[in-house]
Amino acid sequence: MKQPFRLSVTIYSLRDYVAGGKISVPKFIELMAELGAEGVDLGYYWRSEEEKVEARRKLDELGLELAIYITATDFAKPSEEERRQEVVKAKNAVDEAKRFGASKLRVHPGDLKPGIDPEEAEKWVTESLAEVVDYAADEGIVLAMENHGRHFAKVEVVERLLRAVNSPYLQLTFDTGNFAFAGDSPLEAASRLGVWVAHVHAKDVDTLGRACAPGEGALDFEAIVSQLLARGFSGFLSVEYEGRRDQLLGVGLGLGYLRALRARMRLG
Amino acid sequence: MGNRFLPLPRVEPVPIKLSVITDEVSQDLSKVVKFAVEHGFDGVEVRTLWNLRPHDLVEKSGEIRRELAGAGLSVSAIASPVFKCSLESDREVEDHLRILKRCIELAKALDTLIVRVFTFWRSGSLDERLEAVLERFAPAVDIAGDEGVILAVENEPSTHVNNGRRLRQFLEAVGKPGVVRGVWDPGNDVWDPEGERPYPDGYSYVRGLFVHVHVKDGRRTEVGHEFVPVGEGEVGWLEQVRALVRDGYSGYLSLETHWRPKQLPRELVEMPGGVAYSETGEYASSVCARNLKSIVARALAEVGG
Repeated sequence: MKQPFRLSVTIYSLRDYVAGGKISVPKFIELMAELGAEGVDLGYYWRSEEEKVEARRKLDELGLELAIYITATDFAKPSEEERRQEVVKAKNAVDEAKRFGASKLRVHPGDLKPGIDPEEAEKWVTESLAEVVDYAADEGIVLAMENHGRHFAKVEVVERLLRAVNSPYLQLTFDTGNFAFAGDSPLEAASRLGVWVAHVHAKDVDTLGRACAPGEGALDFEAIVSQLLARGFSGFLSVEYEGRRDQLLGVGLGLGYLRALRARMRLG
Repeated sequence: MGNRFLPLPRVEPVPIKLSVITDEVSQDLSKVVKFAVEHGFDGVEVRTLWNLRPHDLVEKSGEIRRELAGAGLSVSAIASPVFKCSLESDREVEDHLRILKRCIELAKALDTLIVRVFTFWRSGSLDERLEAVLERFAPAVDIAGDEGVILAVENEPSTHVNNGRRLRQFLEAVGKPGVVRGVWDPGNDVWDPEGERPYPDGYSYVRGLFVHVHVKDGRRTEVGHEFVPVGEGEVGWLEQVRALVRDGYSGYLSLETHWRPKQLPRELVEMPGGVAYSETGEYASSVCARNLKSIVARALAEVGG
């Protein structure tokens, strides 16, 4: 039976495990397979080139998909030289994603710095994104820009950027929690931006405004996901755990919730 | 094809809480706290600290409370030694009632309602000794009832309640579910003299009757039994935790490692605590904590079916 969406986990969810050296990236892939994830989001925790080869082999061996390749970028840096460096970094990540066999690359627009005119910053981000998107399009990679930070996580800002670049190779990593943190409704965001969504970060927010595992907080995932599906979304919901529990348990909790949600949506 | 008339899967997995028994890591509270924080645990269960038994820790409760609160940790239970004593000795039973009162004082000072207790060194089967055990146990029930705490009786093979079936038999005989409940310790079933299988057999008796779970693992050997890292023994922890999640258990899974790279002598296992007990505990408990978290994460992730 075709699933309404597939389940992934971003390696960032287990950052203390991976960055702390407790587990390798291939071990992360193994753990996620044990938890029943169908894909993983990988990037930036590599310790060596050999580890990348081993991770690719592990994905194939366990039948997991590389849901998206991830890099962190900031195109809102005030100096032109710094922005240039971010563009180079993003292009390198496009190459890396391609080598890895990914079809999508997650990037961040950037962070609005104190004292910077938002309009000016949006112009910088648009210019940089346009350049990277051209490069990515030649390589057949979709840039899935995440709503991230405060200013650049807002629905209207994200929509302006998407419309300004206006390329099928610029789509959206829809972070449910980041819309809420930016003061916007994730449900409205799903309705307005759904057609651009290539990937979802499933992150919940509790009534005190703290990040938690999907299902633990106050967001209506069923309504949000329904909106996205109605607008043609067919990718991965990726658990991004930023809560206070042990990160592995948080991921387990999130996957359990999303799997139950999927079963319910399939039945309904 | 989905059947809309089947019960819907549980939509919100129950977040089971994790704690570790203090002396399974160290006699030094700061090391225990560091361990619990590093492993993302929710609390600690107080047994021995600074080489002191729980009933000798009342004067230290302020210090314990401050250090735990500073790290965002709770106390899951007091692992008292109450009624690990002879059923026949008036003096020992009186001593243990005094110990119980001190442990209840500690529990209240540390904001937990659960005081783990036993059912006297085994002097025959529970069928033979039930009346005598109930008679000796009764004053403790009165004390706990007056103080508003829960006596959590553990299945322990060297006592009269030696397995899950006997725990149920005992709790039903006491008949005070508001005051006396169980601690389910499936790892203890591995050395049950009646040979009960922890899961699903033992669990089927105690389901819904316990307020706390101890986590250790072991296996039977030709000469008895040995403790092993959690998940590597005969308990069947993945199946056990799956059942706990499915049944909506929302209490603590409290790590009582027992396994050490070099096996502990029997007398220390029966009366755990102190420096010798905690030696190499931190390493062993780390291994078990990692295993346990993988198991719990998997059980939680599978909840949706």
